[in-house]
Amino acid sequence: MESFDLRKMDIIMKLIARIPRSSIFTAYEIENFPSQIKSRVLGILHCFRLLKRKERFRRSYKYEPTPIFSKIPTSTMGWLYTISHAATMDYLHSLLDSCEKKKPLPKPVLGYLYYDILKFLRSFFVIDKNRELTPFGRVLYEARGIIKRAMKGDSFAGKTAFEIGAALLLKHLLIFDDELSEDFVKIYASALIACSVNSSFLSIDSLGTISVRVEQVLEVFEKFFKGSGDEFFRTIRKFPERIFIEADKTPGRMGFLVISPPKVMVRGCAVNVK
Amino acid sequence: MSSSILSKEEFEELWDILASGDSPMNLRYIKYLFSGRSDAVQIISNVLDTFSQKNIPLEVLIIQGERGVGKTFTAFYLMSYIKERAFYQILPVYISFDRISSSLDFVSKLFYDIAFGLIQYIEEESYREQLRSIMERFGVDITYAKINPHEADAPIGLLSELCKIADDHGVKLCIILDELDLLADATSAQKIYACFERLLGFQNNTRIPKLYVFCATSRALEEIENLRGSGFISRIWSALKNAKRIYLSQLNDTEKKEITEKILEIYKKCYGIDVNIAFPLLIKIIEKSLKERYLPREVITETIEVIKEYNSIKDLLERIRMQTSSISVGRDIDSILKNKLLPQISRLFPDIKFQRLANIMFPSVLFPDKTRNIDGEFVFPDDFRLGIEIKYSETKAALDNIAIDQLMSYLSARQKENIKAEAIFILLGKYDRNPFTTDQLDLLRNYGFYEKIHVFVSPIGGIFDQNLRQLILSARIAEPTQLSDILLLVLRALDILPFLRKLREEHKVGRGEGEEERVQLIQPIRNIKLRDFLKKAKGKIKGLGQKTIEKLEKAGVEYVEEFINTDANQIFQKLKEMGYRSIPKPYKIREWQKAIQELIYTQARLL
Repeated sequence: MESFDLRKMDIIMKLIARIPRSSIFTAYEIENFPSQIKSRVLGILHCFRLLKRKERFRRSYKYEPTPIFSKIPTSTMGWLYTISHAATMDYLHSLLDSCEKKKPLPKPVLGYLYYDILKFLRSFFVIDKNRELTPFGRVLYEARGIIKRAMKGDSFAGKTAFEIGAALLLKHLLIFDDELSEDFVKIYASALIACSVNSSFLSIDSLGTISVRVEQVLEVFEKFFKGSGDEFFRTIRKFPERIFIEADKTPGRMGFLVISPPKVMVRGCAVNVK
Repeated sequence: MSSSILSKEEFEELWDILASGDSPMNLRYIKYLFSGRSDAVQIISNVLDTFSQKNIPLEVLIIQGERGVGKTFTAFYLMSYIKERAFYQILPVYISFDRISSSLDFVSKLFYDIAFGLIQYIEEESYREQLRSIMERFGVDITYAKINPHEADAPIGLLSELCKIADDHGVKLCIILDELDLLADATSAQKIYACFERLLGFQNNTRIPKLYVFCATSRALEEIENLRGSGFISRIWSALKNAKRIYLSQLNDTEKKEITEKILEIYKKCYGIDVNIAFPLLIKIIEKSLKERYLPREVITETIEVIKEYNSIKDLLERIRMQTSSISVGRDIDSILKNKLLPQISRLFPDIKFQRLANIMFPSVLFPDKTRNIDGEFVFPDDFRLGIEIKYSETKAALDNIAIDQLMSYLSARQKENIKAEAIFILLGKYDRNPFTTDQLDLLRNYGFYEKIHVFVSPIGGIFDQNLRQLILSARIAEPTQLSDILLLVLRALDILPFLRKLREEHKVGRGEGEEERVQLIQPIRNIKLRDFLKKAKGKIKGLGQKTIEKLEKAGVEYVEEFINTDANQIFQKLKEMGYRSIPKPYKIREWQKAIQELIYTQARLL
């Protein structure tokens, strides 16, 4: 059982790289940013303001980073870090919540820009075309619950597949835990997103084991983590007990990548993270 | 769990079934062999608890995993779990798509299982009467085949009447759909689609709570996902999406150990032999044999193989144990191993031969004026050689330079002859784990033999050592037929077997010449009937017994040649069309074909 401790939070602060303190982007530009920057923007969605010029709203916005989000990493993991955190914040979480419960989506904070946000979430495969949460979306949705429980002081292990996934991402992303290899998290996240591309819930079992076509995972790995095929297969070989490839009957097809997450123990502590 | 014991006959039947690669269909066996899988067990019991207590009209459980990982076995466990708990009031219906020939057959199976299962829950005479009349209308006393295709829709009506009775009694249904893998295959997929059509009708016309259990590989699930927009799958899609799923992964060491222990326990109960006391080395041997086996079926068959080998020589071992004290062992072991046991290698691997080299001298590498010899060598089909030197020591020892010189001289002599060769030390008794000193290692590196010399040491522990001696010495009084079993166990104990398998794989004969030679040799045997051939052939082929041969003959596969040259799938289809209930799967047939070809090859060579 691995564990994570929210008290280590201050370590992150030292580790995380800086981002520009303020800038203005148009919604169009956000759509076309490389994923790292895109994620930074996403991470601060909860605090952005619409610009008012001459008493009219513009399709652009200004953001002021909160202490956590001013220190978002610029590594290939950055976007994952940010998007997980963003999901624990009010606006994005309420958005995910409405998707999950099929309620009307919350609008007011964002005004008319919220279509851009939806587009944006779709580009990360957090929601699908029907505005329903994908498996990745479900994992992000659980992230807030995990943090809340941890802050109450409970110690617990994730029960459902999505809680386990969320605990896994947060454990790594929150405290940069060495026990849990970054490479493993990358492959896990790739597999998670690969099955979210088709919003395939049949690809995740009740304990969080994901089985999805190898080529799909590889594609996501290359696109989101800027990794190469070599690196991908090297990483797979590094965790023979957690990752293996299930052969396909059809000759010539790559088969399915099966990855099972470790059970992560979340050690809570009654500290206000902010 | 009940402690009733399997009878010896039942145990042997179980052995044969497992060794033939099929899953045992008898629920009684399941509890003896199902172990580990704690996550799966937990999820199964959770799902069944909630399903039986709450009023859930439709639920799905998916058991997923690669081929041979134990999905069917787990499904059987689920069935026996339900049957042991009558208070669940759940009727399990197991349907395996490889045993269903048509959608009509499917409906019949569904009907029969529900009807007969229901009888145990119904006591009132009026309902029984009703049930009887429904069964008569369905044609229970007539055979399946008599339901005509144009009556095909009628069974659904009867089924829904049946389910209404079940529903009135608070009985719920658990429908297990196995071998969904066939969805990936275009021809059999059609059949499954047709069955799904029926299931859709069944689902729409009945209100009885149902738990569907899908046993599928990832590939099959992908196919199911593609069907989400249509028919039965679309009807149950939301339940399917939120289904509890369990991915069965490969076994870990503890789970393997549990299974082994269970089998040994059964063996103890049936034969009265506790291996732990009688021959502890066997446990070590099993452990070593299972090192690279991860699928339960492999683990079980491998364990049983080893136990069978042991079983055939257990009396010898007992007799030898009585005598051992009076024998001076050292030289004996050495000579028995090289003179009696190692030559048996061609029985285990027909293409490997053992050559004694004790009288052939090689010029020494380290001491130029001397000559050295070694005990023998294995010759592989492509003329690759594996030199063997056996050493025995009663006290803790390391290898001396002369011993190393032996193998080095052998290797360098072979090198000069342009023959590829490697060499092994078989160290018996109390040798060191690392018998080389650093100087010796440097020496080997300098001469370029470091990679080519391998060391195999007997397992640590006084009792194991004693057992191994017992095993080797038993060859002195063994019948010729038992020698190969002894050798196999010795090779397993020393961990040489996987090494040999690997080498054999690397040093197969290239297809070109070897194949032609083989074809010529086979010719005279080809026109013999399969039945006669197997009678004459010395080796037996597992699973290919009298009954199977009868079936094959009826399906028109009578001669050896026909059997070898017909595609396994075709034979499978033929057998299926004949309407047999238990049909060997194509991969099994393919294995038999290979085995027969090998038999032909070896027999022909003996002639």
